[in-house]
Amino acid sequence: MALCVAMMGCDTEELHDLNINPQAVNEIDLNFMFTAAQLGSASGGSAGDNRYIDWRTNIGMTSYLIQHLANAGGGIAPGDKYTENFESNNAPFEFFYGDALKNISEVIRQTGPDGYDAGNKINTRNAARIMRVLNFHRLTDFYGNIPYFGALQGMDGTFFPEYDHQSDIYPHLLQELEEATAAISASNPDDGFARADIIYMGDIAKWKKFGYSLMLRLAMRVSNVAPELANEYVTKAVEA
Amino acid sequence: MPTNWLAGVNVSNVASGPAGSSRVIIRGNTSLQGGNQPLYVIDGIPMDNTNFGQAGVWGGADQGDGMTSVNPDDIESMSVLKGASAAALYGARAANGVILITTKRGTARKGIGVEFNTNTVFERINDQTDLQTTFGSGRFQGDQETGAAVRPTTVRQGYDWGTQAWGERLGSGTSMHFDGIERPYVYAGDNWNRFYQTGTAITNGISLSGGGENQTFRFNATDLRSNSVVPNAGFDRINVSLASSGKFGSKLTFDAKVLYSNERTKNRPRVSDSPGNAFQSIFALPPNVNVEWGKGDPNRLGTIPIGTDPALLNTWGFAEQEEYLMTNNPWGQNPYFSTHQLSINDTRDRILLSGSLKYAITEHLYLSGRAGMDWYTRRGTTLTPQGTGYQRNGSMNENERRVNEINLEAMLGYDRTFGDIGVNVFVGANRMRRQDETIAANGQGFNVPFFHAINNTVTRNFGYGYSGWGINSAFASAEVSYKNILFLTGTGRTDWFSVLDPNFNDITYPSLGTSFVFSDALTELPLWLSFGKVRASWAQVGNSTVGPYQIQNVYSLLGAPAFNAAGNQVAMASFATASGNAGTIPNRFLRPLLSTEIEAGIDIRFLQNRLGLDLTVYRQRSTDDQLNAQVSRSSGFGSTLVNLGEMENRGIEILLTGSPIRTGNFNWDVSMNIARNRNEVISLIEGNDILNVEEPRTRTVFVQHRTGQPFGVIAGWVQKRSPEGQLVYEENGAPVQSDRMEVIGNGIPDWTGGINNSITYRGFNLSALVDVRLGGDIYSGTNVRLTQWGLHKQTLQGRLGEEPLTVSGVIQAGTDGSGSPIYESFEKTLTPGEANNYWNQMGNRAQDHFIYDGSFAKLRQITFGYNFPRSILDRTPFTNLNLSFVGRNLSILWKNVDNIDPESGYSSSNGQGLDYFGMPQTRTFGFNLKAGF
Repeated sequence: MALCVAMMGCDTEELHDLNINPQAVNEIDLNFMFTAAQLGSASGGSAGDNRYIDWRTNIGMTSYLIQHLANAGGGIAPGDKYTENFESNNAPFEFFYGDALKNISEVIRQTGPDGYDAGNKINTRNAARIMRVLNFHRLTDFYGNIPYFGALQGMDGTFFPEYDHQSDIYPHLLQELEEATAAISASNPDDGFARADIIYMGDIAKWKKFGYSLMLRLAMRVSNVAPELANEYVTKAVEA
Repeated sequence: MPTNWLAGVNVSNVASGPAGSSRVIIRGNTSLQGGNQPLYVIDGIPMDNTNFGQAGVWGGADQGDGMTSVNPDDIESMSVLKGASAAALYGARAANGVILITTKRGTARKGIGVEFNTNTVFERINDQTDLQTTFGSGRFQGDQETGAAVRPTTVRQGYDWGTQAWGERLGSGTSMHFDGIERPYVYAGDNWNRFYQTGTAITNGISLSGGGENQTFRFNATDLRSNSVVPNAGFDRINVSLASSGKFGSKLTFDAKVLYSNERTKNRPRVSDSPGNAFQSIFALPPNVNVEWGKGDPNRLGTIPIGTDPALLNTWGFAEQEEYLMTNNPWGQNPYFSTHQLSINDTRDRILLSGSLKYAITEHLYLSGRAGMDWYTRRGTTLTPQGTGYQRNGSMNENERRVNEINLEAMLGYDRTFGDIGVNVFVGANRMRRQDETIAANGQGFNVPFFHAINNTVTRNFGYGYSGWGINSAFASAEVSYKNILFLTGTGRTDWFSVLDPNFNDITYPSLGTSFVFSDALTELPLWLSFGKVRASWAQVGNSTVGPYQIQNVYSLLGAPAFNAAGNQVAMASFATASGNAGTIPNRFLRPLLSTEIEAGIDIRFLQNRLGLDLTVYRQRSTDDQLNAQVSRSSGFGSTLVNLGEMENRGIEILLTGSPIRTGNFNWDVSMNIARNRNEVISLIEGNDILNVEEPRTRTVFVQHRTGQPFGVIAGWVQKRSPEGQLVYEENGAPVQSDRMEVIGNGIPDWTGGINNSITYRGFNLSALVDVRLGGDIYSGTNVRLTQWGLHKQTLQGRLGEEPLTVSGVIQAGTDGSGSPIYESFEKTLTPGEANNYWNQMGNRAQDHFIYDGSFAKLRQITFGYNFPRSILDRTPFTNLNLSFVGRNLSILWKNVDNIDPESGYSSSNGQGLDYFGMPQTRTFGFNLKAGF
């Protein structure tokens, strides 16, 4: 043992330092993740892979379901023949959780109370909250009940989150929209938001308009099942 | 390689061509997702055996591994350390056993010894196909009951039906082909002989050795040049080595070696799924098509000649100088285009350095130190030229990878005998550091047409990768012996892994062993017994199979930027371990895995050592295996690293040796080894008893781990059966697919063994090795496709004028009140149209028809040599002269699989037992001449 310690040491700091990835950082400018989340919400995802939403979901599943397209059945396009194809069934689930929502959640988490960027990037945070609503809204409209409140916490050890009722998800989505759209403001420091925002390039008025439009859309979606909720938020959206 | 250490060592021949990788498994697989291959140690220094890439479900090439650098002429001896007891000296990476290679040294002698070695080997494809040659290209047209098989009569049909052998009976009239030429509709002859060539490998080596009392040296230079049986492919290598050992004064001895190698691999063949798989393209040709019609432009084989009729170009949709596709499937390459235009080339320069010093402090106490480095640069170029069928713009990639591994070791030892008691003790420490860095340039499209250089590409991007890791170790060993009859050994080692969190990064593992030479303990030995020893041991070894940077969450930039609404670039970032869709959650609490082995054996020899038996039984259990376990995608990630898996191996190894004849001039020795390993996966992630490993391109089976089953079973769709066990058919006679995948086989053999006979008579020696493998299955994707393409002989059944195809079983006639199916008995003789559909659907739905017993017996090697006697040599300048003939893989004596070699797995990964258009196996014949001065 003496030999080992004298010659090279057994469990040394130098050994531990080997596991520091020289191509990565412990804390990232969250605006970079916000951009990834924005691009990730588009049909190609953040990596430009159009198989999930373009092919399997939009073409393979939904275009056939609404019978704008038809085929002899099978493959990734089972929509009009009611056959099962696991790749098409899974595509939105894998796409939304695995790409945009993952990055959005990290932006919200790290700008939140215990995050390393707590209290900063207020506009980035609230734009991320609006993007989060957009993605979850699309996702729950595909599947109905989905993991929502416990979702996207893999880094905190929640590996198999529970499913939540759509009727519990929608009110929370609307509440989030209301809070986030109100909180996003031109009087907040920019903190790099304008540069990171590839959609509106930091135009707060456009974000407000988008947030309230989305609120109107979500409220109308629930108008047949929750007329009071719909009424409340349609009014809020229109007033704003 | 002597066979006597082969019991329990399973070497798989991977069907991936020159400079491909190999899979060596000692006593079964011990980790569910780890590498499972042994550690290679050259002269005490671990040698990197990184695998550079394997073909997978979507194809690719075997990029080779580390062992191709070794020059067989440099090897003095090889030995295998099986089981966990090797681990005290070599550490965690010896968890799967160690292959020890000792290279040659010089010897003290008068003058300089010179040795020449020249070796010429010829290689031929060992064609295992037996395909139908009765029906030609074409397809079945019309209704299944009233339609008929037709031949192509237009260029369009010739082009569209290029891989369909569902046409008419050959022998009369003509048919049209893809190239616009009408030819007689007859069997076109053997395409394998036309396409594959005789491979050659020529090796020339020279070595010088010599030295005196204080220092010896050996120098060797060897040049290997080879051409594969696949046209335009080959592997060349230069090895230069220098070894020196000696002493400074009376107490300090040294040993130093430099091994340099330069390897150049030309056109690694693409296997598994196309694109670019020439083997698949050759297999796919209908019997009335001659592969040479696809040669095209003689100056650029496989491309469309200049001056081709525009009407033909219009039919194909390709231009002059682009790929000359023989069928309208751009993913199924013209085989000449695959071999002569597409390319995957690489070169590797490698230096292995080792040096050791030993200082005798006293007569019994010594201090030794050793340093070693394995350093290499691998430079690769992959080209998909302009005009390639599936990628008309073309692309190329230039990459360089640098790897270095440095090991430092120090040891203090004490070796002494006190009367009857012998003591041998040492303590030591080791430090391993490794760096791996890759830089790549990628380009798409070419500005100057058909000028294939990276600086000529239209869009370019780069890639960069780095990883570094290390292990620190401390170890100790003590052996006590009594009269050299009874031995007791205990070892211990602690490894600290850089890849784990400092709080959980160490593992300490002990071993205990004893052996008793009972033949020496007996005062009077019975006449028939010459030697007897029993041994037993218990050992543990820890290991960590994860790569660096997996335990803590960090962030990294994405490879490509986004563009904002104004068109400006904006950088993007995400989790370093989960930058794309899914990805892995780091686990700070990950611990090393542990393997525990218990082993007992007997070594006994009879009749003046003329008959011997060496028998070992063992049981090994891996616990806390590090798994990348799937988690719900709604967690945001695809998997997380956890210590969960548990697996057991138990087995028996038997080595029998005998010398039936032993006279002065004539000796006959036989050795036979047999090994059986049973493996069971005991536990996986809770709630999920299946872990997928690999799948072939048919995508109808998986290699997977299942709780309660052996490592890596093959599970796939099979034909559905009724509750009474009868086969379920559709009304047209096609099989119905099962509701879930079922276990249909396992690619790992149950029994492995070999018999070696060797005879020496005066200067002559002759030996023959037969290699046997029993049990173990192979799923043949090749036979699936051959059946669907109408090339497999079984597809003759049911065609017009051939033996009728009758199926019997049940058919679903409806459902009862509770929704369960009602089955009615069913029997039908199929029309040719239904038979065509039957064979197609069998390939899609009933994989149990394509799982074959992978057992075989092969004549693995024959050598015949002659050592010229003194009486002749005395009149020549030679001190020794040896001429020998070596034949390898000459014949498959017994097998149970159609059309392919049972050793046709295309990958050396954990996904074993999958065949899908790998490179056909070959037989080789060669001559070797060795002359010493």
